[in-house]
Amino acid sequence: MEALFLLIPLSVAAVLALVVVLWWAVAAGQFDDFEGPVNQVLMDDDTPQPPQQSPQCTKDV
Amino acid sequence: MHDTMVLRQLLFAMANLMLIALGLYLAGLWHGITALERAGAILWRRIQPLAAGLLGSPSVRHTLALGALWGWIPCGLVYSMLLSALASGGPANGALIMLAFGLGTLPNLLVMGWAAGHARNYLRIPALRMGAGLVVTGFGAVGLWRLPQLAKLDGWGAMCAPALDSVRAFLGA
Amino acid sequence: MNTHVMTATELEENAAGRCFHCDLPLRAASRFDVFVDGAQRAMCCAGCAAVAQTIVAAGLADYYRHRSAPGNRPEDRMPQWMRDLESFDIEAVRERFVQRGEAGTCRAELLLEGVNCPACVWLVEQRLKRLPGVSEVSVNYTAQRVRIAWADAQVRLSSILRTVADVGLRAHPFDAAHRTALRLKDRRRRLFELALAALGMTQVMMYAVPVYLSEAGDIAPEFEKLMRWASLFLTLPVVLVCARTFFSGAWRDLSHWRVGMDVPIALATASAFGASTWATVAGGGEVYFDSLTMFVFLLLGARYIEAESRARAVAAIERLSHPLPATAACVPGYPDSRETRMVASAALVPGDTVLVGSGGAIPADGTILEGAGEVNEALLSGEARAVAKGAGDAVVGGTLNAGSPLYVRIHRVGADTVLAHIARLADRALGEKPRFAQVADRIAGGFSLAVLILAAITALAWLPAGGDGWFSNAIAVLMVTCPCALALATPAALAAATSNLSSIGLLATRSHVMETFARVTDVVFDKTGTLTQSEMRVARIAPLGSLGTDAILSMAAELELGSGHPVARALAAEARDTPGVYAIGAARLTHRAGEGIEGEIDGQRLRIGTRAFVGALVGTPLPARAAPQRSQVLLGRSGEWLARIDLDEALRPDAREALDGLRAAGARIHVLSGDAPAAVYSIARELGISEAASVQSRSTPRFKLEYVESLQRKGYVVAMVGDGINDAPVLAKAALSIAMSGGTDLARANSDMVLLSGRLKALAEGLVVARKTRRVIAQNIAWAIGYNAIAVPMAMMGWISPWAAALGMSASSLIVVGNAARLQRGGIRA
Repeated sequence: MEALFLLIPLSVAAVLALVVVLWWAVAAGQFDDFEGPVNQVLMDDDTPQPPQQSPQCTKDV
Repeated sequence: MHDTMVLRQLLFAMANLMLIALGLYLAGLWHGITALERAGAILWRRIQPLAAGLLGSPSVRHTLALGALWGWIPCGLVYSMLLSALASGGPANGALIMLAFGLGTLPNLLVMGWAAGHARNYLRIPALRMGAGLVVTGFGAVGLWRLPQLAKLDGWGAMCAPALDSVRAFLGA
Repeated sequence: MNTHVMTATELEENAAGRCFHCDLPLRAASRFDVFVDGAQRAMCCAGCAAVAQTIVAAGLADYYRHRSAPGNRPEDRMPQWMRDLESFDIEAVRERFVQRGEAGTCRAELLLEGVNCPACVWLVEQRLKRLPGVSEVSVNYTAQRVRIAWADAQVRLSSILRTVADVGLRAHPFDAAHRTALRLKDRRRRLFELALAALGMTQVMMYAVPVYLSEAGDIAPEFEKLMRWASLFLTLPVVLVCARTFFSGAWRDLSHWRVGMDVPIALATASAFGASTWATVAGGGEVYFDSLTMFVFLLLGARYIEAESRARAVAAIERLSHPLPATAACVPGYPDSRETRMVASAALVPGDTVLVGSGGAIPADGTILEGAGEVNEALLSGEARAVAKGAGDAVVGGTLNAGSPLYVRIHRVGADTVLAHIARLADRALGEKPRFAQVADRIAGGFSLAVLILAAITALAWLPAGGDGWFSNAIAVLMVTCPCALALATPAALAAATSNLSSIGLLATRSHVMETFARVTDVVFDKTGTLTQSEMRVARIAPLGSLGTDAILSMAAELELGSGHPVARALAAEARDTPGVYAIGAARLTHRAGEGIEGEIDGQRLRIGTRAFVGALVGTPLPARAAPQRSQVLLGRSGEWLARIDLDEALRPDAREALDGLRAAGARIHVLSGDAPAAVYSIARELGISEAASVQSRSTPRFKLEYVESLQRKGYVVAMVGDGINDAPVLAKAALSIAMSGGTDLARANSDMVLLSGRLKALAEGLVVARKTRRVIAQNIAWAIGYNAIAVPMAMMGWISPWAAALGMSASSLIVVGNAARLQRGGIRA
């Protein structure tokens, strides 16, 4: 049970490390766009295509 | 609690040695303390950008943060006081020591920003500096001399016990 | 006092012997140099050098220049950010965002930073209103903007900004890019706080679970102590960082002698943390770290959803105000030279010609000079619907050119463009506080005070029972109450609904719209331009007198010149296409709404319009012809009927569906028109309107007004749909006025709601949304009342522990906010 004396402080330190990572992620803009990456995966088209002339769509962000 | 007394004695000794070095530096006699400052400067280089950003901000929060960072300045005076505070053995005592330090240096800092001719001129008198430096050296020396008695005494306050007793006797209590 | 500014030479001299910073004598061995004010200065020790370097790095090197002569210049005492405020008084800076009005009034729009609650906004409003010289203050909590009007002679902009700073907020000039940046910063902060609270909550819960699951005494005291300390360390950041909004909100409320929603929250958080810390340090008693972190997390979660909902509403409307491109290709030498020159869109003036390439955005309102193709008006209608446009057609700044390149002559720029108008109208709606929001604020305030009193009573009542019960029950009472339905969820519901409506092309310009729309029982439609397409076509010109069709057309087009009526546009289009038409001058034109136009051509008085109107001038009755099946206008002069012009008008493609939808929602339909009965009835038939009494033809404006009045006298709530220009008085009379708009006529629309796209179906959809909104708000309020009525007594009785209270309260507020978020188009999206 003595292991707890090491493990609990270790877990606190781990949380603090997580907080630092979280801080970096938010500041670096990782969470700015929740929908873009989702759609990007679906819309990424890797087959070569001739350039299109379609009107641009302005969707609600 | 058993082995901490040795640690406390060690800290106490180091703190007093620092005081002696500091006193000699102030008096202009020996500047060995600058070696320590140079070491500290390396760490300060990392902290300085943060402090620079906070300097000049009117926000209370920023000022408090700046105060916390400012303690890391590579200055011999600050280091020795920090060590003394550390050696005092308790957070309350340590805080009181740092407060006393701040109050003690306040007049000089106020004056530095003030174009008053007189007070500034007083501070330039070499004899004054020598005297002040020697007093501080004296504190350090006395502390070292009382080191063996530390086990029986409790912190800095106890050092003043004989002085307090004599004052009490003088007042006829 | 020795006010001696050190000259350069003196500085040099001193540098040789004394430390530049602290003035102590230098030692030869220890010499540190720092670059200050253009030269290397010697310092005596690392400490002085470090301080000097920091001062220089902070940009405050002025300190060295002025410390020998302080207080002579007031700028020295002002911190940098305040000096920045002064720059706002410089003309060049102001030009960008300050509008000069009549008689020395200035108007500007500012963005507020640091708004956490309605109280801040209220405070700013109060303070600004009290400044002498400020004539108008309108604050928009949703978009966090202030619109002020002030007399330049009496108060300066910097003083206004400083007043805002005194309240604790920062005001920036309204700048779209800045606003986006601020919003992003705010969102990131909220997200970080939410995630931090989540981390804290889950970890602390992990340490709390063993304690809950075990019997007293099962866990060795040192482990329990260890876990408590660990919980303390993890809760500390949550309290210091995440709960800060609650503390500052409560502080702001209390320092103005108000009890707001944040006060019980802050009190519960602070006292629970304080008590738990004490218990941890002193070793004994209950700890509430788990309840605390859960409470903070769930509250932040509810506020996050509400804030996102609000941000969406604003974004939907903002899309309209800054899609203008930054640069445009100006063609100064048109039509002789096709050379283009890139200029800033902001620098365009009416009369400039620009070339808009394929796929490019049109920089301002104008008319197409050359080129034909399609324009994407998505930002007006909410859909990517390409509208065919050719030479002579008007285009709106901000829309996209989806076809071949167009040469456009600019007519309106900057604040006069359609987009700017739309944005201002939308702003007006968001700025006025709807009635129930104001009521909700007041109730929330009283509620919080009641909660504090109840908590105090609970504490006192449980004291005699001994132990920790008094504290945990009082905390439970503070935590369990949820005034969120009123304070949080109603604005969230309204914001979600508004954004929903604007995404289908219905722009609300007044705050009462949602409320009134939901109560509508009858919908009155104008026919021409509303139910029918705004473009009419001349089908036939039947001469009735001595003039030929060309002459008739020339005269008719000339008389109708400048009128925005669909008839006028049809005549103009026809005149353009007919080669024999010539230009005539018409003088003394008078328009009579709903009737026609009178003017003088070559000395003769002519009238064009309805039968009655023209007949009054002609004097003789109209020769009987076959009853017209279509819309018509008549042209006549004194003593002679000149022509009957038949016009084709097509119904809007979705008119039938729209009316069916409205009927399905329970609204009654009425059609009023100034046209001849045959035309009106045939349209009514097509639209499936069966009650004859609801269809009125040959209606004068006066008749229309009386019709609407009679309906309203019966207690019906009437929504009137018209084209906004000709029906202005009638529209104003109706409880809810809805103007059709093709976009370019927006400037004249003064109604409560504008249908930006031509989609009538949006009306039916909008009615459903408005009704749903009303239902949702009622649901939320019912839930709030029910929940509080049950939960508070339970907490007072001691049946709920603090963590359960936190859970219950947060669940309740999430339910309420989530319910409100349902109103968004597409359901809940966080």
